[in-house]
Amino acid sequence: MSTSVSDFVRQLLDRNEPYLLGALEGIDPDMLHRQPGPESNSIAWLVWHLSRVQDNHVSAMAGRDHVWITGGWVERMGLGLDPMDRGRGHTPEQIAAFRVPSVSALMDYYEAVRDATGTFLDEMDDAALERQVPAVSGDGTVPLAQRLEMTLTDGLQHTGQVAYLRGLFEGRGWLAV
Amino acid sequence: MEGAALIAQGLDRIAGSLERSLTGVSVDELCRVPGEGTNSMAWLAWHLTRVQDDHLMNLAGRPLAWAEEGWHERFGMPAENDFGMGWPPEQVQAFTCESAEVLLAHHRAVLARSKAYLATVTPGDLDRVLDEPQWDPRPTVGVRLVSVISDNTQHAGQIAYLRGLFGGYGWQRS
Repeated sequence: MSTSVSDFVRQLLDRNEPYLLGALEGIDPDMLHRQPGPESNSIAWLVWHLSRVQDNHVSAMAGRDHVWITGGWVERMGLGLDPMDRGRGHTPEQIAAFRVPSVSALMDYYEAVRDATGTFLDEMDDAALERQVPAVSGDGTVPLAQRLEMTLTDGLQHTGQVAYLRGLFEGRGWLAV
Repeated sequence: MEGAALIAQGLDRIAGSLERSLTGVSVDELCRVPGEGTNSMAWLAWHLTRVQDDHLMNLAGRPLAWAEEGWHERFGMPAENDFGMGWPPEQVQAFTCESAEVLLAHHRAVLARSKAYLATVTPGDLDRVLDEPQWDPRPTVGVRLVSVISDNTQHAGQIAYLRGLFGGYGWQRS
């Protein structure tokens, strides 16, 4: 049996996860929210954003509501943002003021999104890749494959950034995966 | 769409991200590090491109662009297949390049070879087990491709972050 596209996606996400969780392990609130420059994203903002982006893509592909909303995360995270906000277009002031209540809340939300993604991938077959789903913005539609690929690219790029920041703050050799 | 097409699309995304992040950036900024022991944009772009060249051409059974196309000369390095693994911080910080354009041209050359190879890959090929007894389980072609996308996409994200750190908010919209 040959490797399906959903297998590939799962492998990529699985491979990515140790970098993300490794970068959050044992981190204190100060480092979690630290910005290396006045307008740069913190680890907290990046992990929240990448999870929200994945939640949004998977919700559109699976035709389900966001975990962010159904799982009570709006209240638990208490960010005071529009429930559909995923961080795009945040101003430098918003980025600097961004605070999550705890690293465990952030990890729990990431894991809830990951699990919803896993359920979606279990149900998906490669024929679904051609199916039209809502575009990220506007009223149009795009093939599901496009949103799947965007999910990966965004998640992996931001994970690389999170890992880089932990290395910048913590020093060389922090990651053992 | 098949697995190899997803990988090719992923490689295109990486290349697009590098073009946006690196075009027009000075050598000084390319080689700047934000802290001790961290990697510069130049080193990251060189390293991720070398990883792609090494991994994909080994799968294809073809020589590496690095030596065959003489890219090592453009970087003033030996032709041997070094892609930066295990470099000490001093070596990373001493890494330099001629220009952003050389980093991008190197990447485009490697991408062209990678895509020529991926166009020949059938779904069945992805399950071929590689003769690499140092790994348990031994990786398949598909696993190796996944690791290239993962490595390269993470590093492309790091380069974009550094561009923003040095260049300021909103750099990607200018």
